Amino acid sequence: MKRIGLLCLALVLALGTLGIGYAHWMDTIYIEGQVTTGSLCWELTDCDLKDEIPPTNPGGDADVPEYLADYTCNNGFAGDNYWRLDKNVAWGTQNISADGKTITVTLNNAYPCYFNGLTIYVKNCGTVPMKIDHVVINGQTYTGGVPYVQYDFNGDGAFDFELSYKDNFGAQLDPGEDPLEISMWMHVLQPCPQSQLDTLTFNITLVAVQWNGYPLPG
Amino acid sequence: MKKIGLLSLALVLALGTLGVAYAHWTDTITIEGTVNTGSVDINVEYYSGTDIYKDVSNDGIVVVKWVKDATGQIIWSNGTPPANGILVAWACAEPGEENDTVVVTYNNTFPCQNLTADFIVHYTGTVPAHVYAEIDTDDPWLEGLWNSGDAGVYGALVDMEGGYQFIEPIEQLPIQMHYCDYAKVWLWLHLPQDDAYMNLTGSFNATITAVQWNYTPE
Repeated sequence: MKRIGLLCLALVLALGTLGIGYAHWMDTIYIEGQVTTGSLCWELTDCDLKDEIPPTNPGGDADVPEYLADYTCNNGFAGDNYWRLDKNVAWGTQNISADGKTITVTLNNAYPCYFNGLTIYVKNCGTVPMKIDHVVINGQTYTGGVPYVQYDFNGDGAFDFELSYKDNFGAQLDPGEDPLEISMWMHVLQPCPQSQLDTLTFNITLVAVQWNGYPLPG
Repeated sequence: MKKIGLLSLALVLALGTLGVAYAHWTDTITIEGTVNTGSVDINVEYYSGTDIYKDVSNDGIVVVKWVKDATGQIIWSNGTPPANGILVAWACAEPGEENDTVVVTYNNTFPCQNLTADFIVHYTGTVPAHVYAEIDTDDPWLEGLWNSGDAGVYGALVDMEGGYQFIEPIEQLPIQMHYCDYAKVWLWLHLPQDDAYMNLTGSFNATITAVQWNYTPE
């Protein structure tokens, strides 16, 4: 009987302690939060090559109207100019991938001194304004100026191809804005080996950053 | 008959004894007690937010902060949206449907820009209180931001005499509040420059709790 009494006393004391533990006064404000993050996205919408009309005859068309003739320019793009020849021999083709992220450019039947110009149009498909931060051409990163790159396809120490990326670093593109134009020039050099003339390949990666993050830390 | 007489005598004596017990002089002091209990009471009175604009005329970032009362009237703002501006991101706090609830929304957040959605609480309790914050989310990316310090809750007492004056968040909760104090509670978010945070949606629940100051939660 005495044990039962002690047990009851202990129970009462325990419940009392518990009561003290929950007895503080409080008032609460409840917050329901929703967060959505934006997106940075740009894509190719269109592309132009200065020369994309193939000749009618394999090997080229002679005495063609001026608008069909191939282009050429000075080595190193000296004079910042290009002009027409009198034949239509080479031409360029391009294809934009379905996701708008890659453009494949092919120069067909190209030959030394052949010039072509590539213009791409990009739009902001994200929700945050963006700026063009840098381009990577032939593994080299450029963040300003007018990058000029020479390629030595066969590693013989002589440059076979040259490319000039026209300056638009820091150019802004807002969501929904009209596409931005980016241009580059291409020129086949005299040492270019014949065996590779049909398969000139080069890669250019363009990197943009949200406008308040420009320029990206180096 | 003799027995009846003895019984009557005993009864008279007993009653006489009782009479002595009540016959002494008495005087009484009566205490009437009243206990008015205090209160712990915290309420949201003002709501604020941040609008992030891109000023198209100079490509700059314009951050407009504002404070509204419960009816939606702006009582303070650090400026006006740019005339040629694009609203890129915003965060705001507004009254919830239930009493003592706040709905906080962060929209189109992007890296490298703090976004705060705040509210101002009025402490009307008569017992000093400590004000704590607790945040809970089921979204790992949001939890990661809280844990890494890229999101958090700050608070500070504000002097509302003469109107709201902008102050920066200065201390993490808990803070101590006394009767009639105002405090601003900041819920801020900062996205790291990481593509993994693009196009995300998350939600969280938070509580702002005032607890009597002499109680220390475990």
